[in-house]
Amino acid sequence: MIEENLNNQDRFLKTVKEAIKASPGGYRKNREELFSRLSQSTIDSRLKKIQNRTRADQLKLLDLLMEQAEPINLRVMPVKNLQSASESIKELILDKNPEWGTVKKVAAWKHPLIDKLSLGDALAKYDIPVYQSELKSTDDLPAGKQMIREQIF
Amino acid sequence: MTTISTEHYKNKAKEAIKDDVLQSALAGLQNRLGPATAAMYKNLPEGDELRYKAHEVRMFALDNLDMLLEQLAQKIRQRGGNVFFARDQKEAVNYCLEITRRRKAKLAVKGKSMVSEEIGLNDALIKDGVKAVETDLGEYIVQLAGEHPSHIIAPAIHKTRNQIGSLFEEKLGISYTNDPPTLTKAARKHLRDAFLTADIGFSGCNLACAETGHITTLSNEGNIRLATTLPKVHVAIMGMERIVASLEDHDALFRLLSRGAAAQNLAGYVSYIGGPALDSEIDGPEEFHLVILDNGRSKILADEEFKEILCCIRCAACLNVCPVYGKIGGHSYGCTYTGPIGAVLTPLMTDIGQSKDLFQGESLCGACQDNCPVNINLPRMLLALRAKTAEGDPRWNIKPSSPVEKFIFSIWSKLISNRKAYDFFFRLARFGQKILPTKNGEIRKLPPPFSGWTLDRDMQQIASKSFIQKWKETQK
Repeated sequence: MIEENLNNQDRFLKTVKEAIKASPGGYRKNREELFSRLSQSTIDSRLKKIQNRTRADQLKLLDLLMEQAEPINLRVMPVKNLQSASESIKELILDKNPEWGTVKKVAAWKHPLIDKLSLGDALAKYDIPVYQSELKSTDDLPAGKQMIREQIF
Repeated sequence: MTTISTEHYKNKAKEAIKDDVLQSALAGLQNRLGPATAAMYKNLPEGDELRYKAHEVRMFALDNLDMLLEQLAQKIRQRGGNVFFARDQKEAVNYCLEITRRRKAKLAVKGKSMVSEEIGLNDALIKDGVKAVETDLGEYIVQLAGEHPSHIIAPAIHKTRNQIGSLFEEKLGISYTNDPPTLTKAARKHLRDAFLTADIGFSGCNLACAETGHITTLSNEGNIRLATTLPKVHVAIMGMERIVASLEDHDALFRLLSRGAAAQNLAGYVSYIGGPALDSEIDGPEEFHLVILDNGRSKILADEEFKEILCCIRCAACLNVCPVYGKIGGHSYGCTYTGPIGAVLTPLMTDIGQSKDLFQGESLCGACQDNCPVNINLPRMLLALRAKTAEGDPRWNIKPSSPVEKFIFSIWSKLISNRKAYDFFFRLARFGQKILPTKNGEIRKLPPPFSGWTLDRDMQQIASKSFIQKWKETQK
């Protein structure tokens, strides 16, 4: 199948190449010149700019994010620290009604920042389970993945 | 999906013009999106320069298409994905069916994909025992109604909320309502069940990136994300021209695509997909397939006159300002791609002679090019197609459509090249027009073979004196 696909690809790309040759006057480059048109110095200077952003620069970006988020109904909630973040998220979850049925559930991505919010603890007394996307063990990957899907499906 | 014929075009156009609901919907769409898109282009930091830059980016991709596609395929395969190059719709459909059969798939969910319409994927899946559910709300509505989309971005624009309410009552078993949030919620529930139980997800590809080996999809509903991540198999289909070299090139094109399509800065969901889930990743499709489709595009690429049409990024901005589309709607075109883009692309991909009504029906007002995010010169190509039907072209398998018309215009051409002959002709015509029926000084009916011109309009009589004659008299 793989070899068949590669032969198929060769035939296909040969047709494309001939078509390009048939309508000359275009801007054709060598393969090495097609990609990564940015020089290393440009890349380095952009990375440095990001690294050296001041608080004022970051706040300007936050303002821009909030402005651009509004038309797509993305609610941006700036908070001062992790505790405020956890509290805001908890309030949001308590405020919302489940879309289907009566049981509220939360799915959370396994991530160090999200872990620090301790959402499970914050919501435990309200009987709202928080399911994390985490493989408990890598011994049996297919079974582990299946178990995660079963929590949601 | 093509039902192109002069009879279909005329009949559907007449129906559409008499359909007050459709006329109101199209007018609403165009009055809203046309000016909004124009304003958004004006407010770009780069101004119109960005559209010209985008045009260059697309042409550059076409000029190097073979290398870009090769790079894309290599990168996707390195990441565990599969790539299939399909010469035509039959090969593309067969490849998709091989996957559904191997996976014993019974249910497929689909993100909005014009190219999947082009190859007739839904019908093929259904015939093979696979239920295919469209997940874009407009496509879902149109599918439930057993119809075809009438607009690239707003497929159900021709339907009212009352019609949708009745449709959902009949097909989904809910109580009748014409309240859009309630209807949306009902669709959402049904579609969520489909997402969660589908065996396979199909999507299109807005634009692929050769350098990184990704396809990118844009949506505002989030349905494409669900259709491409929840099922265990994801199959993406792309027209071979929908690729650029680098992520930098994406920047300009996505900013313009969203503005052209929906007068937005950017779509709500922009997804980069480069292969299946890795072993270490906890979820995601086990298989990823990219089907790259030719289906006549290489022939267009080989023609200097028309290859520019492959720059199109399918935003439908041209539909949103076309006065012809605004009157006759999408179904009159009888094909997957409608409006000005359809009027050029469809004849080139199918048969120019059979599709002549599409490009002859356009008004050549130029609004399409002005609104196109990549500044495609659609009017030039519409004219070129008309020239082909007039003069014939063996490469495109066209004979001159009317030897009589060609003869008449060759006589006319000789006439207007000779001043004396021209003046004599118009002296005769001034005399001859006296026997024609008139009303309010206008000719009601011309004799054959010109009678078609006065079928729906009157014609001004030829003035008793030409401008030059009057000018000469004033100089005396």
